[in-house]
Amino acid sequence: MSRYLVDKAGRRLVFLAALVAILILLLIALFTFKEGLPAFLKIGFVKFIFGTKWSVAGGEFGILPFILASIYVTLGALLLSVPLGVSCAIFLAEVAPHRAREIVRPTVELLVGIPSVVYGLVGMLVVVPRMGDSLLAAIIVLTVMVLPTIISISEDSLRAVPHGYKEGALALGATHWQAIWHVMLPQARSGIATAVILGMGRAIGETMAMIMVIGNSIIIPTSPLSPARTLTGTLAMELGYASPGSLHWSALFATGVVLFILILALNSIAFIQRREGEG
Amino acid sequence: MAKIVKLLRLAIGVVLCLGLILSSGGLVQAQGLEGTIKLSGSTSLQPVTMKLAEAFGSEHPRVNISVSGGGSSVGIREVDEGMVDIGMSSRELTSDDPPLFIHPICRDGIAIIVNLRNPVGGLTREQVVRIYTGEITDWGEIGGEWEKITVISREEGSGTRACFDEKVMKERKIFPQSLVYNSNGIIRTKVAKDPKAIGYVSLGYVSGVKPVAIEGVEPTMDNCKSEDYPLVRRLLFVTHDEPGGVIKGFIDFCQGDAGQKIVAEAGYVTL
Amino acid sequence: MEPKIETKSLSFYYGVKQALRNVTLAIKEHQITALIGPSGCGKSTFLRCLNRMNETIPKTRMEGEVLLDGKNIYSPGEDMVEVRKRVGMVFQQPNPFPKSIFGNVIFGPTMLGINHKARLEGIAERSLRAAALWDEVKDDWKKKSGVSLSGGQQQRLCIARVLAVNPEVILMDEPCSALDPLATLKIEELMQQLKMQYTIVVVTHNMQQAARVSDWTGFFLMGEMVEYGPTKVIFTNPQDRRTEDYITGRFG
Repeated sequence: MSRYLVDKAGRRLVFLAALVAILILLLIALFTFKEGLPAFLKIGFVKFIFGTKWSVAGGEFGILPFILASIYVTLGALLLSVPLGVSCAIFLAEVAPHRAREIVRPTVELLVGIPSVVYGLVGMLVVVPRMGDSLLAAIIVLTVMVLPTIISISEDSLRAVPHGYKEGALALGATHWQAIWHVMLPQARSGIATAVILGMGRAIGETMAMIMVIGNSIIIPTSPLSPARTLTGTLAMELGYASPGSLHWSALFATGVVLFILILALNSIAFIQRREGEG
Repeated sequence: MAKIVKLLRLAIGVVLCLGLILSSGGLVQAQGLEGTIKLSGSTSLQPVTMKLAEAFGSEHPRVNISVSGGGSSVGIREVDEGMVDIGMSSRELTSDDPPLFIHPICRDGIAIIVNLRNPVGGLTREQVVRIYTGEITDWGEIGGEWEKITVISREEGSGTRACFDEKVMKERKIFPQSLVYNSNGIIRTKVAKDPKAIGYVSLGYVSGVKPVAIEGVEPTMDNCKSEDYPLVRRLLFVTHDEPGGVIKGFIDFCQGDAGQKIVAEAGYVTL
Repeated sequence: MEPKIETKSLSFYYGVKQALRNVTLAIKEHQITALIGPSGCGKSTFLRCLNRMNETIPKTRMEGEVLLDGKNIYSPGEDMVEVRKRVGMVFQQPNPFPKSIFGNVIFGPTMLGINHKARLEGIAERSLRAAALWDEVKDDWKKKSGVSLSGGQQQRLCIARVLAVNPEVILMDEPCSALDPLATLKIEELMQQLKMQYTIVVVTHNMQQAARVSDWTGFFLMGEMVEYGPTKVIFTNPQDRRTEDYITGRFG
C-alpha cells in the first residue's frame, strides 16, 4: 500500500516539475511577446523585419541586418564545425590509438566548460588581427566553441552503433573507411543530428564572444569579411539603455520574439532531419 | 567555518535592519549621520562612487551605502521610480528624461585614441567628424600611412557616446559601417592591437594606446580641468527631490575637498 | 586433397591472456567442419582468425600462420579486405543493416565497385535464391527493411549477403544460437546445399547440430584443440578422454 503511494507521489512530483518547467518557459515567451507587440503594431511587421536601418536616436527600427547576420554566423559555424567535428569524432572513435583518445577526449570535454568570454577574448587577440572584425572572425570563434559539443556527442553516437554492423560490413569485404561511411555514419545519424541541434542552439544564442569579434556595425553584411551585428548582440548591448515602455524597449523585445521564432524554425528543421534519420 | 561566517553575516544583517527600523532611517542625529543610501547607474561612476562611499562610511559608521551599476539610463529610471536614492549618470539629462535634481560629482575627459605605431599625433575636430562619417577613410589623407581606417565607436545609449556625439559630431551622424563595441576596455584592446584603428575612451583608460591632440590640445588632466580640451563631460548624481539628511550629507562630502581629493586619486577630473 | 584452409601453430592473445595455444588444423574443401567446445574455449577466436576479423579488436596479438590455398593470409603483402572477400562470415546475432533486403544483399558487391543496376539485381536474386529466402521476400524485397524480417529470415539474409560477394569459404559463428528450432532446421538444410559450392566452418555449442551437419569436427578446450577428425569418429569413438567427457555431457 505504502509502496503504491510512494510510486504515485513520485509520479505526481515529476509531472509537477515538468509542468513548472514548461510553465516558466511559457511565461517567458508570453512576456517577451507582450512587450514586443507594440513595436510590431507601431512600426509594422514588414517594416520591422525587412527594415535595414536601426537608429535609436532616429527612431528607426529595422532588424534585417541582424537577422541576416545571425543566420550567416550560425550556418557558417555549422558548415565548418559539422564536417570538422564529425571527422574528429570518427578519428577518436575508430582510428585513434587508445592512448591518444584518452588524452584528447577529456581535453575536448574540458573545452565545453570554458566561459564564452574567454573564447571572445582569444578571438579578439588571435583571430581578429588576422582578418578584422568580421562575420568570418565570428564564425571561426563560434566553430571552435561548438566543436567540442559536436565531437563528443558524435563520438558517443558512433560508439553506440552496434559492433555487429561494423563487423558485418568488414566481413563482406568493405574497407574500414567504407564500413564507417556506409554503415556506421548512417546508423549514428540521429545522434549526429542531436549534436548539430545543440551546436546550433549554442551558435545562435551565443552573445558575449560574438559581441567581441563581429564588429557590431549596423549594416547588411555583403561578404564574410564585412562586420555585422547579431540579434543577440543588439539585445545585449542596448537593453540596458532602453527605458521600459519606450518604442526602443518594445523593439528590442520584438527582436527577442524574432530570435525565438528563428530558433524554433531552425530547430524544427534539424528535428525533422533527425526523425528522418531514425525512420 | 563558512557556515559560521554566513550566520554572522545574517546576524549583522538582522541587527542592522532592526537598528534601521528603530532609528526610522536617515534622521540627522547630534552625534553624526545615520541611515542607508542606495545608488545605481553609470558604470563609469561606479568605481569612484564606491571609494567615496567607503571614505564617507568610515567617517559615519552608522551610514550604510550600497552602490550598483546598470548604466546611466538605469540609474535615472530607478531614481525616478524611487527604487534608489541617488542615480549615477555619465551623461547630461535630456528632455526625454524625467525632471531630476542634478549634482555634478566630477568630470571625465574622453580621449580619442590610436595605435602606438600610428604616426598621426593630432587631428582637428573636423577631421574626426569626417572620419566618423566615413568621408575620410584612409590614414594617408590625414598625414598617416596609406591604410584604411578602422573606425570604432561606442553603442547608442552609452554616456561616452552621448558626449562624443554632442561635443564632436554635433549634428552629423556616425556612419553605420563603423565598428561598435560596448566597453572602454574592449575598445582600448582593439586599438592597441590594430595599427589602423581609431576609437574613443574615458581618460582613465588611456594606456597602451596613443591619445591624439584635438585642435592641438592634448587630453591631459590639466587641459581637461581648464576645459581647453573640448571632450570633457560632467559625471552626475541625480536625485528625485531636493536632497536632505544623510543623502545631502553624502553629496556635500563628495563635492567637498575631501571628496574631490578621492576623485583626483581615482584618475578623474575634479570639478 | 590439399586443404582449403590450414593453420599452423596458431596462438592468440587478448592483452596478456592467451586464448589459443598452438592450434594446427587443416580444413577440407567442400566440407562442413564443426568446431565444438565449452564457452570460452577459443573456438570463436579461432574462427575469427581465419578471416582476420580479430584485427578489429585492439590490444590483441597473433602468432603462427593461416594458409588459404597454401598462402599465408597474414603475410605482409596480403590485403585483409581481399581475404575477407574470399572468406565470408555469418555471425551469431543476425546483423542485417537497417536497409532494404535488396540494399543488404548488394552491400558487398557495391563496396567492390559494382554499380550496374541490372547486374546488382541479378546478383541479389541469385544470392537470395541460394540462401533459400527468395520465395519469402520476392514481392517486396526492394522496399522491405532487412531488420523487419524474422530472426531466421534475417540470418538467411546475412548468408545471402555473404554469398553475393562470391566467397570461397563461409565462416559461421554459432549461426543458430539465436534462432528457434524450425529456423535452425532451415539453416542446417541450407548449409548442406551450400557445401557443394563453398567450404563451411561452423562454430557451435550445440553438439547435436555438429553431429547432424558436419563432416569434420574439432573439439576445443581452454584454447587448445584437443581432437580433430571425421565427425562420426569424434562422436562415436573419440580418442581423447576429454572429448568423450564433453560429448557425453559430463561437463560443458
